[in-house]
Amino acid sequence: MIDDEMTNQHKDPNSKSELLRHNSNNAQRTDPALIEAIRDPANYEAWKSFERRYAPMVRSYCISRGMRLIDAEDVAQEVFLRITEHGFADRYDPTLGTFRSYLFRVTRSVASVVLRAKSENSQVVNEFGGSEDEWNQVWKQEAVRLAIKSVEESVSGSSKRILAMTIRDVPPATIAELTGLTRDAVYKTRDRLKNRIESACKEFMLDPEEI
Amino acid sequence: MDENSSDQFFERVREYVADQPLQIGVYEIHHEVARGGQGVVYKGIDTSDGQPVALKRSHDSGSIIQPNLVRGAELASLLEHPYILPILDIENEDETVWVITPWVDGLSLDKWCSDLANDDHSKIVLFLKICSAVIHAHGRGVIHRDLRPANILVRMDGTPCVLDFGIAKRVEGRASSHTMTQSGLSGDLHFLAPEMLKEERSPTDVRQDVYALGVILYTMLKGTHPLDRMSIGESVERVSSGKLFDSSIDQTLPDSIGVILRKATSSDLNARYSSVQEIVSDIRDDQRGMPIQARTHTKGYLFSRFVKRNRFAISIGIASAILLFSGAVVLGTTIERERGLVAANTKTLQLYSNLIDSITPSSEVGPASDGLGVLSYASKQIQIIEVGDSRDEQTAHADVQFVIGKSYSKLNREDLGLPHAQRAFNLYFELLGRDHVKTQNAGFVLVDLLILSSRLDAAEQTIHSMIDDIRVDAIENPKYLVSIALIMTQRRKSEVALDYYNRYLDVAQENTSEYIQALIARGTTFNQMGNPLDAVESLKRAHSISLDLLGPDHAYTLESRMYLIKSFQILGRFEEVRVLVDEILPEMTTAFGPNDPRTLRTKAFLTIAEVETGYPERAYKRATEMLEESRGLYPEGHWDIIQCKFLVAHAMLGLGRPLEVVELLESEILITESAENIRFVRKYQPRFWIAKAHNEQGNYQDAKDMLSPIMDELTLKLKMHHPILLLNQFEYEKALAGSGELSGLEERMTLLIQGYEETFGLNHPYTQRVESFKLAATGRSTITD
Repeated sequence: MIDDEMTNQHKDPNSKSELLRHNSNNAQRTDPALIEAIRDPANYEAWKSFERRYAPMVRSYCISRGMRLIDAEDVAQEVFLRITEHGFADRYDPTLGTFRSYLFRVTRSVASVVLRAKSENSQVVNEFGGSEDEWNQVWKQEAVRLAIKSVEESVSGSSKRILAMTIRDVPPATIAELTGLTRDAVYKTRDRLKNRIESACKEFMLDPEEI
Repeated sequence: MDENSSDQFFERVREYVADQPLQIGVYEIHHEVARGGQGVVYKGIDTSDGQPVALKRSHDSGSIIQPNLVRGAELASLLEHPYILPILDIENEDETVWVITPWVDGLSLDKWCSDLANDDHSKIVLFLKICSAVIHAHGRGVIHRDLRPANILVRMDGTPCVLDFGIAKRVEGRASSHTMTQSGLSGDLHFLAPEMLKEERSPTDVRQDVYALGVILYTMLKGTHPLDRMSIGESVERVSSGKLFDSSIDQTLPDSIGVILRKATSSDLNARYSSVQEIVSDIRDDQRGMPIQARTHTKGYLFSRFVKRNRFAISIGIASAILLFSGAVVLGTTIERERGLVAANTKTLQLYSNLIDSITPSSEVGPASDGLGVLSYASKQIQIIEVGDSRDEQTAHADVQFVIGKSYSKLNREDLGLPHAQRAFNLYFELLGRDHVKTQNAGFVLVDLLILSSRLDAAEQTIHSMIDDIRVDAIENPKYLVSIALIMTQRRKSEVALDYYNRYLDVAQENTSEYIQALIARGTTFNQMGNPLDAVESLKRAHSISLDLLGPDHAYTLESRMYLIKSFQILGRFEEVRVLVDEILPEMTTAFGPNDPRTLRTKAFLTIAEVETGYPERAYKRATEMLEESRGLYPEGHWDIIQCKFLVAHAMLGLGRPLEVVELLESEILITESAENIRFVRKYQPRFWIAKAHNEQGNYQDAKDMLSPIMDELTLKLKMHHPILLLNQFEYEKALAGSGELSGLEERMTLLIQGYEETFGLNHPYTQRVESFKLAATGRSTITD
């Protein structure tokens, strides 16, 4: 009847693991740390989380190049398989370029192979092509989308509502009215959300300056 | 704070989030949900009606799996059964076939058994439902051939959904053990019948599904597969040689189930059940204590079954039967009617009449401590009474159990009431059927008690067993809506709870009293969600309607005001809380009685508000009085007593007497940490208060030692900004800082303040307290913008 009642509040336990992961990512597992972790091919957990995080970029890029979803998925699967099997530790040298750029080269190469295999029986041989600029554009889009999603899942209550409305371009004055907060409080929350999105972008290897 | 910078940022961000989902026919693909050997499943929506759907496609358009997918869909579309996943559509796009089915919100069978099912009985009930789906398929000539837990989903209402007919076979007419078809080797080795592993494979017949169902039942009950941790070679050897189970199976499974499993999974086709219906019959017979087909019918076995069926009748003593009858007569809710039916022993009648009089809490008094003694006596009597086998006797027995359970529930003694309510519910269910009013009433009492004792899975399970469809839109009875909402609230699924409360508002429109209750319930949920402003709106509405239509002294008028005060407390407006409680407390004491939980809760609001607004002496006096009163009402160790101790501790800290807090609560640590079924948020509260007291005294190392062992668990089990976690984190940070561990403090405090702002609000005194601490500890303000 007392503290328990007063302080027990909201939140969905289903996304707890997501939040914890988000939290621990923020606190400890920076991206370089994840990249270091996957240098160990036996680190299954790191590999899974690596694939979960970056496969959407590969898939979206392939789709943006006109691939069918089914083929794009094959490429995503093959890219991460190839990185695992071909000894990532030996192949990726951070002094020679960013990881994002490395992933682009692997993706383009795998995508060309997949397309060639698919068109084996056909008269038309599709070339995958694609430039790193396009890759970076898709990457940005996906990273921002995923960053917003991860922040969305990590906040609740009025912050969640403010984020949803801000993304839908609802003016701060209206948000204040709808949430019962002051405009100052809305601005302050938006500021905090901006910081969080920026920090989540970094997890997806996107420098907020690039946005 | 730079408004322009965040404006520009979000303007740029918006350009990236205009999402164009992929479209397959009229279906929009949203995201991937599962990927397995057979294909990939996506969640999406049907754009024509907005309904969620599952879209499945094979991995490769050229593989053998694609025809399987189509054939499976075609076969499944021949079937129409509530426990078989229907096929909505088959789309062909770019040579890829997509099979579209309704989206099933549920868990795989194994996950459901491990996470939600709470006893073997509910698992067997579910198994029988799965069997009914398979029997339906067999009746239409379809043999599934790939039955396994991954191909059976259990919806949130507890009903199964058999899916994936990808390798199913069609036979002409009804499929039976005599209809066979040639087939290749397909299916999961763990559930594959031994004849399918032989070089000369037997043709397919329904006994393949019978075998798989046998193994499924074993995995449901045991939580493991008999071949778990074995290599493929060993597994094949065990299955082929007909030694799927080892000899211990009979000792570790419920009565006779081991025998049924052996028959269902026999490697000798002729010894195996020849149809799924036969398994069902044996399980049902076993539940009724009848002889089962799977067991050899020796005289001894038949006799033991007879004894099982009639054990009450055989052992009953005449005197105890009379006692039971008379007790049941009086305790039943329809005393007069029952009196006419059964001749009652006058003395016992009197005893139970007195019992009812003393335990029924009136609106004037709270828990009646004297009633507990009488109830306890009745409770013991009912344990030793043997009950006859007749339907009337059994029903009378259930009546007694029900009234005892219900009375304990009114006294907040879930620990004592649960076994009685459970027994009553089971008996009514068996004797009168699920939909009988007595079964339903006993079910609600049972659910209340389970919720009180934090056994939420069991509570939800009970509701599942009482109703066909637990989905919010399907429920008309407000009692269900409230019960589910309560469970969801306790599970911290407040958004879901809110759906149920909103539905409750819908169905309660016609009834003023229920409508007000719904508004109050919704308000309290908003409070729990940390939306006190929305809560205020709902509660004010409830208060205004109740005041107009029911009057100022009505319980709903008072309750809505009480929860309004709670909203103010969450908002940190302690001055207003103090003033409002002063106004309402005399009315509540008159209306509900001094010891009613609602009166006590209101006193608790006042006590906290007094400490927070600088009146700790008054708070201390009230809290110690409440503690004394609760000691007279509850046994030592009861949560209501412990909560009163926290109130006293709170006041003691306000008075600057932290040493006494340590003395007061030290012994509670063991009580809360060793208690079974305690809600997790309660478990470490004594440690929190003691650590707080240590910090107040400057014993930072002691405070750190008190919290160190639990911080990981709290972080793991509670959401990131759960208030309990935040409060503990703050005390822990104080302890660390006080012990000179300042590294990383500033960064951690910034995050902590964010959490406080989000959970308690920017202007809440708690948030301000944390900000002041950070300022003092690091010399820097958090508000840099």
